[in-house]
Amino acid sequence: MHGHDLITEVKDPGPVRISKGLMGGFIVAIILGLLLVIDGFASDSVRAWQGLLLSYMFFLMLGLGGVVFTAIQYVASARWSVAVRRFAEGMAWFLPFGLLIFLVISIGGYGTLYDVESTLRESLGKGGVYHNNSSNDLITKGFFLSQPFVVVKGIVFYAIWGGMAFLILRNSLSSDKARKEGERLKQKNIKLSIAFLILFGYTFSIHCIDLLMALESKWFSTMFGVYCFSGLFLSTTCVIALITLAFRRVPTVRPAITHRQLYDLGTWIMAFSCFMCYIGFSQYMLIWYANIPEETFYMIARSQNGWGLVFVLLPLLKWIVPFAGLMPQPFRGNPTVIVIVCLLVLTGQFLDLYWMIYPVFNSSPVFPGTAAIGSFLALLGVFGICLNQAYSRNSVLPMGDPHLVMSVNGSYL
Amino acid sequence: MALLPKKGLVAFFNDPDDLVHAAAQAHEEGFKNLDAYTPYPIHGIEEVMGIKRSWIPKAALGALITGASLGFLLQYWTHVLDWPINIGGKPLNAWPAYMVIVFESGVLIAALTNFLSMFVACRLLPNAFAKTLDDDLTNDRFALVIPAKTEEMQQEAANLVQRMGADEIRVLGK
Repeated sequence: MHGHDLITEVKDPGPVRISKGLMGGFIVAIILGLLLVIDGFASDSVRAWQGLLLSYMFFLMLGLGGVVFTAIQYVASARWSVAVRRFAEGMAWFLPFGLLIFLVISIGGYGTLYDVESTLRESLGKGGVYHNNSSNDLITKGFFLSQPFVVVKGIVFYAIWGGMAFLILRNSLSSDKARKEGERLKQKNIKLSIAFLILFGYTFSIHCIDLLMALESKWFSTMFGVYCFSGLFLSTTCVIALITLAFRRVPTVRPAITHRQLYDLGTWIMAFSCFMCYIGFSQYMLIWYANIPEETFYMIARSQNGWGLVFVLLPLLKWIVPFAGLMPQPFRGNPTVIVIVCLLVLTGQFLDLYWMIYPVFNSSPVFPGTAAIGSFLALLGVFGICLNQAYSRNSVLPMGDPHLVMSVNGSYL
Repeated sequence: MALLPKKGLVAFFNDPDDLVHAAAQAHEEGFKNLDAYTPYPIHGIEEVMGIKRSWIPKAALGALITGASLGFLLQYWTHVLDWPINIGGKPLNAWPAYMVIVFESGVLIAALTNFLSMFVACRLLPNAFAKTLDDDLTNDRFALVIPAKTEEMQQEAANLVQRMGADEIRVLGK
């Protein structure tokens, strides 16, 4: 509403510590998760590596997504999101752990998960399975997806992501202390964010190609990078909405989190669920229509023997649920509806990764394995502790941002 | 400009906040069918004036379903019924390939219906009776129209807007 209940100053809520009970839960999740991972590797190591890859991609997308969200808000000079921006920034604290898990997978699990060299050698022997690719291209692809190069690329990417996230977060945090510098630091972050988004586009696509598309080393899709990105953005927005709702229960933060922020987050979830469906459909439709054997085998394996059921669940959970659930105006800012929709979308994201990874090794849907559950729990615990580290060190609102009051008042409208 | 009420009162304001407060007050005191003219959209004013959601979303949804179905039928008729051709061994009813045109025709018809029904809902169709209230309404003035049939109601409304800081009051239908 206009003119009413405007505030002139946001009270600094200071750092917020996650409750001891929840922190205990996170620690229990890590210990329980590690035990389950050990059990998984002892019983079936092939499935355990798939599970670890699944959990890694799920949480990498959230950790990285926090930085992407922050960077997009900076580049667009968005004002609505200033009050919730620090929640997204906190998610970036997961990145160092992401690097650790990445190294474990790419060094320890490469031989089990990826058969790049043997597939390419086999196809070279047959004179190449591709219509248009000369054998020279296969050698290039073999080199691109070879273990040493994948590891090197991953480390370089993490250096880029981590380094730029560090700089963006440092500028944002230092504006809390030096409030007069707020505008200058914001301008600095806008430039950094532009650079980050450009680099992110390339590096994240290649990271997904290295770790997910390489599972099917004969297959390729030019939509793959943007498909993974849309999953990243949708799940990240859902997690930010959940964190925002959690912070609404903190009395000191509550005045800054209004119905408007929730409404806008709901709108974003709805918008990006459409984007997700659009990208997913584009990838499927083009492969279906072109009907080239090198491309279709991926979709055939993923729509038969029960995988078709998982495939149908993806548009249901990632598009129809958020689209229909958040379409009515009163629902878009309704905490209960947002929580239900977000949890269903995150389930869809988990299933999406499951549907990308598991059909490579299993001809019909299987239990993802104790290692998948265990590593998911453990990384959830790590993610929670990372959030606690972020939120308990600095104010949970960007106090130095010149547009914070505007964001809370909704005067950007 | 929408048609003005036959009898009533127009209050001009220089400040959008005054307009919002006056509209809220008038709604609270029981004046019906309020209308406001502003140079730019003021968010939240429909709520305080007691204006409910219009029928436009329903019309748009109906048009969307109609347009999408028509788009599908057009393709089904051309590809399956009228001129069946085997393209690349695909089934004649190749619905995944139809979806793009189904989407586009749905959006096209829905958007056009939305656009046109806005004019109908706002009574902005061309007519010979529309008069411009004030040239500055497209620049820096804000007007609130309060329909009031009787003299007493007009007096009451005039008192109200005066209190709320109107800088000019005009009575309609003297």
